[in-house]
Amino acid sequence: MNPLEATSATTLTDEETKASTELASAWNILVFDDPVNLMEYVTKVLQKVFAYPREQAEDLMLTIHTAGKALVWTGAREPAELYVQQLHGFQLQASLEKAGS
Amino acid sequence: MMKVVPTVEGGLRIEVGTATDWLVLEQIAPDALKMEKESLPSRLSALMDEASEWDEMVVPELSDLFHSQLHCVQKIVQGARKASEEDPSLGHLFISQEDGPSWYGALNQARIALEGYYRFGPAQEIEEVESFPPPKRSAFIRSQFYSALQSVLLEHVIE
Repeated sequence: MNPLEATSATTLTDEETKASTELASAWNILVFDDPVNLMEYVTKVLQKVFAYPREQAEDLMLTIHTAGKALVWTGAREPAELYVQQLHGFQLQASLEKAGS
Repeated sequence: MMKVVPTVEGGLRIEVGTATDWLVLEQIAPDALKMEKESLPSRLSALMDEASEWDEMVVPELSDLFHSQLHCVQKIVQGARKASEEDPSLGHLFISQEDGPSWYGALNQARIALEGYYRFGPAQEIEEVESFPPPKRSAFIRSQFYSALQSVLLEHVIE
Protein backbone atom coordinates (compact mmCIF):
# COMPACT_ATOMS: atom_id res chain seq x y z
CA MET A 1 0.00 0.00 0.00
CA ASN A 2 1.22 3.49 -0.77
CA PRO A 3 2.26 5.02 2.61
CA LEU A 4 0.77 8.36 1.59
CA GLU A 5 -2.61 6.72 1.04
CA ALA A 6 -2.33 5.02 4.40
CA THR A 7 -1.58 8.32 6.08
CA SER A 8 -4.43 10.14 4.40
CA ALA A 9 -6.82 7.32 5.27
CA THR A 10 -5.96 7.50 8.92
CA THR A 11 -6.41 11.28 9.02
CA LEU A 12 -10.05 11.18 7.89
CA THR A 13 -12.22 12.87 10.48
CA ASP A 14 -15.33 11.19 11.87
CA GLU A 15 -17.39 13.73 9.93
CA GLU A 16 -15.67 12.84 6.64
CA THR A 17 -16.03 9.13 7.29
CA LYS A 18 -19.72 9.61 8.04
CA ALA A 19 -20.17 11.69 4.89
CA SER A 20 -18.46 9.15 2.65
CA THR A 21 -20.43 6.30 4.22
CA GLU A 22 -23.67 8.17 3.63
CA LEU A 23 -22.73 8.80 0.01
CA ALA A 24 -21.88 5.14 -0.49
CA SER A 25 -25.06 3.72 1.07
CA ALA A 26 -28.28 3.25 -0.83
CA TRP A 27 -31.00 5.90 -0.77
CA ASN A 28 -34.64 5.62 -1.70
CA ILE A 29 -36.56 8.26 -3.61
CA LEU A 30 -40.17 8.48 -2.49
CA VAL A 31 -42.88 10.32 -4.41
CA PHE A 32 -46.01 11.32 -2.49
CA ASP A 33 -49.56 11.65 -3.66
CA ASP A 34 -51.01 15.15 -3.79
CA PRO A 35 -54.40 16.48 -4.81
CA VAL A 36 -53.11 18.67 -7.66
CA ASN A 37 -50.83 16.74 -10.00
CA LEU A 38 -52.74 14.93 -12.73
CA MET A 39 -52.16 11.18 -13.00
CA GLU A 40 -51.08 11.37 -16.63
CA TYR A 41 -48.59 14.11 -15.73
CA VAL A 42 -47.04 12.04 -12.93
CA THR A 43 -46.63 9.13 -15.38
CA LYS A 44 -44.96 11.38 -17.96
CA VAL A 45 -42.60 12.88 -15.38
CA LEU A 46 -41.50 9.43 -14.15
CA GLN A 47 -40.84 8.41 -17.75
CA LYS A 48 -38.88 11.60 -18.41
CA VAL A 49 -36.78 11.68 -15.23
CA PHE A 50 -35.95 7.97 -14.90
CA ALA A 51 -36.43 6.87 -18.53
CA TYR A 52 -38.88 4.25 -17.28
CA PRO A 53 -41.06 2.52 -19.87
CA ARG A 54 -44.66 3.73 -19.96
CA GLU A 55 -46.01 0.60 -18.19
CA GLN A 56 -43.58 0.84 -15.26
CA ALA A 57 -44.18 4.57 -14.85
CA GLU A 58 -47.94 3.97 -14.88
CA ASP A 59 -47.66 1.23 -12.24
CA LEU A 60 -45.65 3.56 -9.99
CA MET A 61 -48.11 6.39 -10.53
CA LEU A 62 -50.99 4.10 -9.51
CA THR A 63 -49.09 3.05 -6.36
CA ILE A 64 -48.56 6.72 -5.50
CA HIS A 65 -52.25 7.39 -6.07
CA THR A 66 -53.60 4.42 -4.12
CA ALA A 67 -51.00 3.98 -1.36
CA GLY A 68 -50.19 7.66 -0.93
CA LYS A 69 -46.54 7.20 -1.87
CA ALA A 70 -44.20 4.98 -3.86
CA LEU A 71 -40.54 4.12 -3.86
CA VAL A 72 -39.53 5.13 -7.37
CA TRP A 73 -35.75 4.70 -7.36
CA THR A 74 -32.92 3.39 -5.14
CA GLY A 75 -29.24 4.16 -5.47
CA ALA A 76 -26.37 6.38 -4.40
CA ARG A 77 -27.13 9.67 -2.67
CA GLU A 78 -25.60 11.96 -5.28
CA PRO A 79 -27.66 10.86 -8.30
CA ALA A 80 -30.68 10.50 -6.00
CA GLU A 81 -30.44 14.18 -5.07
CA LEU A 82 -30.25 15.13 -8.74
CA TYR A 83 -33.36 13.07 -9.47
CA VAL A 84 -35.26 14.64 -6.56
CA GLN A 85 -34.22 18.08 -7.78
CA GLN A 86 -35.73 17.26 -11.17
CA LEU A 87 -38.91 15.89 -9.57
CA HIS A 88 -39.27 19.10 -7.53
CA GLY A 89 -38.73 21.06 -10.74
CA PHE A 90 -41.77 19.22 -12.11
CA GLN A 91 -43.59 20.13 -8.87
CA LEU A 92 -43.91 16.57 -7.60
CA GLN A 93 -43.60 15.97 -3.86
CA ALA A 94 -40.51 13.83 -3.53
CA SER A 95 -38.10 13.04 -0.72
CA LEU A 96 -35.04 10.96 0.05
CA GLU A 97 -34.60 8.37 2.78
CA LYS A 98 -31.81 6.01 3.59
CA ALA A 99 -32.63 2.51 2.34
CA GLY A 100 -33.51 0.18 5.20
CA SER A 101 -34.18 3.01 7.65
CA MET B 1 -66.91 30.99 -24.08
CA MET B 2 -63.24 30.16 -24.40
CA LYS B 3 -62.34 27.55 -26.99
CA VAL B 4 -59.09 25.61 -26.95
CA VAL B 5 -57.98 24.05 -30.22
CA PRO B 6 -54.81 22.04 -31.02
CA THR B 7 -52.65 23.51 -33.79
CA VAL B 8 -50.87 21.59 -36.56
CA GLU B 9 -47.53 22.78 -35.12
CA GLY B 10 -48.20 20.80 -31.93
CA GLY B 11 -49.35 23.72 -29.80
CA LEU B 12 -52.71 25.15 -28.76
CA ARG B 13 -54.79 28.10 -29.89
CA ILE B 14 -57.08 29.61 -27.28
CA GLU B 15 -59.95 31.62 -28.70
CA VAL B 16 -60.78 34.28 -26.18
CA GLY B 17 -64.36 35.48 -26.44
CA THR B 18 -64.90 38.04 -23.71
CA ALA B 19 -63.11 40.44 -21.37
CA THR B 20 -63.80 37.96 -18.55
CA ASP B 21 -61.88 35.28 -20.47
CA TRP B 22 -58.88 37.60 -20.59
CA LEU B 23 -59.23 38.28 -16.87
CA VAL B 24 -59.16 34.56 -16.13
CA LEU B 25 -56.00 34.08 -18.19
CA GLU B 26 -54.41 37.13 -16.57
CA GLN B 27 -55.23 35.68 -13.16
CA ILE B 28 -52.94 32.63 -13.56
CA ALA B 29 -49.79 34.36 -12.28
CA PRO B 30 -51.44 36.27 -9.39
CA ASP B 31 -53.17 33.03 -8.33
CA ALA B 32 -49.84 31.21 -8.37
CA LEU B 33 -48.35 33.87 -6.10
CA LYS B 34 -51.16 33.67 -3.56
CA MET B 35 -49.10 31.55 -1.19
CA GLU B 36 -45.83 33.41 -1.70
CA LYS B 37 -45.12 33.57 2.04
CA GLU B 38 -45.13 29.79 2.00
CA SER B 39 -43.65 29.34 -1.45
CA LEU B 40 -43.78 26.09 -3.39
CA PRO B 41 -39.96 25.64 -3.47
CA SER B 42 -39.85 26.02 0.33
CA ARG B 43 -42.67 23.55 0.80
CA LEU B 44 -40.89 21.03 -1.42
CA SER B 45 -37.66 21.68 0.47
CA ALA B 46 -39.41 20.80 3.74
CA LEU B 47 -39.53 17.21 2.47
CA MET B 48 -35.73 17.02 2.47
CA ASP B 49 -33.38 16.51 5.42
CA GLU B 50 -31.11 19.33 6.59
CA ALA B 51 -27.98 17.56 5.39
CA SER B 52 -29.08 18.03 1.80
CA GLU B 53 -28.78 21.83 2.17
CA TRP B 54 -31.82 22.05 -0.12
CA ASP B 55 -32.72 25.57 1.03
CA GLU B 56 -29.31 26.91 0.00
CA MET B 57 -28.59 24.75 -3.04
CA VAL B 58 -31.89 23.99 -4.74
CA VAL B 59 -34.61 26.38 -3.57
CA PRO B 60 -33.15 29.45 -5.35
CA GLU B 61 -32.95 27.49 -8.60
CA LEU B 62 -36.52 26.22 -8.25
CA SER B 63 -37.73 29.74 -7.44
CA ASP B 64 -36.13 31.03 -10.64
CA LEU B 65 -37.64 28.20 -12.67
CA PHE B 66 -41.14 28.70 -11.26
CA HIS B 67 -40.98 32.48 -11.70
CA SER B 68 -39.81 32.07 -15.29
CA GLN B 69 -42.87 29.90 -15.98
CA LEU B 70 -45.17 32.61 -14.64
CA HIS B 71 -43.31 35.30 -16.56
CA CYS B 72 -43.65 33.33 -19.82
CA VAL B 73 -47.42 32.94 -19.38
CA GLN B 74 -47.90 36.56 -18.33
CA LYS B 75 -45.95 37.83 -21.33
CA ILE B 76 -47.95 35.72 -23.80
CA VAL B 77 -51.32 36.70 -22.29
CA GLN B 78 -50.46 40.40 -22.13
CA GLY B 79 -49.10 40.40 -25.70
CA ALA B 80 -52.16 38.61 -27.07
CA ARG B 81 -54.56 40.88 -25.18
CA LYS B 82 -52.80 43.98 -26.48
CA ALA B 83 -52.96 42.63 -30.04
CA SER B 84 -56.67 41.89 -29.67
CA GLU B 85 -57.35 45.41 -28.40
CA GLU B 86 -55.63 46.85 -31.44
CA ASP B 87 -57.38 44.44 -33.82
CA PRO B 88 -60.50 42.76 -32.38
CA SER B 89 -60.30 40.01 -35.01
CA LEU B 90 -57.22 38.74 -33.10
CA GLY B 91 -59.13 37.46 -30.08
CA HIS B 92 -56.87 34.51 -29.51
CA LEU B 93 -53.52 33.43 -28.16
CA PHE B 94 -51.13 30.65 -29.07
CA ILE B 95 -49.31 28.26 -26.79
CA SER B 96 -46.39 26.85 -28.76
CA GLN B 97 -45.11 23.36 -28.13
CA GLU B 98 -41.95 24.91 -26.71
CA ASP B 99 -43.95 26.96 -24.17
CA GLY B 100 -46.20 24.03 -23.22
CA PRO B 101 -44.17 22.97 -20.14
CA SER B 102 -44.09 26.57 -18.85
CA TRP B 103 -47.84 26.86 -19.23
CA TYR B 104 -48.36 23.52 -17.52
CA GLY B 105 -46.04 24.51 -14.66
CA ALA B 106 -47.66 27.92 -14.21
CA LEU B 107 -51.15 26.39 -14.14
CA ASN B 108 -49.95 23.81 -11.63
CA GLN B 109 -48.52 26.51 -9.39
CA ALA B 110 -51.81 28.40 -9.58
CA ARG B 111 -53.81 25.30 -8.65
CA ILE B 112 -51.48 24.36 -5.79
CA ALA B 113 -51.67 27.90 -4.40
CA LEU B 114 -55.47 28.20 -4.77
CA GLU B 115 -56.13 24.82 -3.18
CA GLY B 116 -53.76 25.66 -0.33
CA TYR B 117 -55.11 29.16 0.20
CA TYR B 118 -58.83 28.42 0.00
CA ARG B 119 -58.58 24.85 1.29
CA PHE B 120 -60.68 23.09 -1.31
CA GLY B 121 -59.98 19.89 -3.21
CA PRO B 122 -60.22 19.11 -6.92
CA ALA B 123 -63.23 16.81 -6.43
CA GLN B 124 -65.39 19.07 -4.29
CA GLU B 125 -69.13 18.26 -4.12
CA ILE B 126 -71.27 20.70 -6.11
CA GLU B 127 -73.47 21.48 -3.05
CA GLU B 128 -70.38 22.48 -1.12
CA VAL B 129 -69.14 24.67 -3.95
CA GLU B 130 -72.48 26.49 -4.07
CA SER B 131 -72.14 27.30 -0.40
CA PHE B 132 -68.64 28.78 -0.81
CA PRO B 133 -68.34 32.55 -0.40
CA PRO B 134 -67.95 34.27 -3.84
CA PRO B 135 -64.12 34.66 -3.85
CA LYS B 136 -63.64 31.00 -2.92
CA ARG B 137 -66.26 29.87 -5.45
CA SER B 138 -64.64 31.80 -8.30
CA ALA B 139 -61.21 30.50 -7.22
CA PHE B 140 -62.58 26.96 -7.38
CA ILE B 141 -64.00 27.54 -10.87
CA ARG B 142 -60.68 29.01 -12.05
CA SER B 143 -58.87 26.02 -10.58
CA GLN B 144 -61.17 23.67 -12.51
CA PHE B 145 -60.48 25.65 -15.71
CA TYR B 146 -56.72 25.50 -15.09
CA SER B 147 -56.97 21.74 -14.58
CA ALA B 148 -58.95 21.31 -17.82
CA LEU B 149 -56.36 23.35 -19.73
CA GLN B 150 -53.60 21.20 -18.22
CA SER B 151 -55.36 18.07 -19.47
CA VAL B 152 -55.47 19.49 -23.00
CA LEU B 153 -51.80 20.43 -22.77
CA LEU B 154 -50.95 16.89 -21.67
CA GLU B 155 -52.98 15.38 -24.47
CA HIS B 156 -51.80 17.56 -27.33
CA VAL B 157 -48.67 19.50 -26.42
CA ILE B 158 -46.46 17.92 -23.76
CA GLU B 159 -44.61 14.80 -24.84
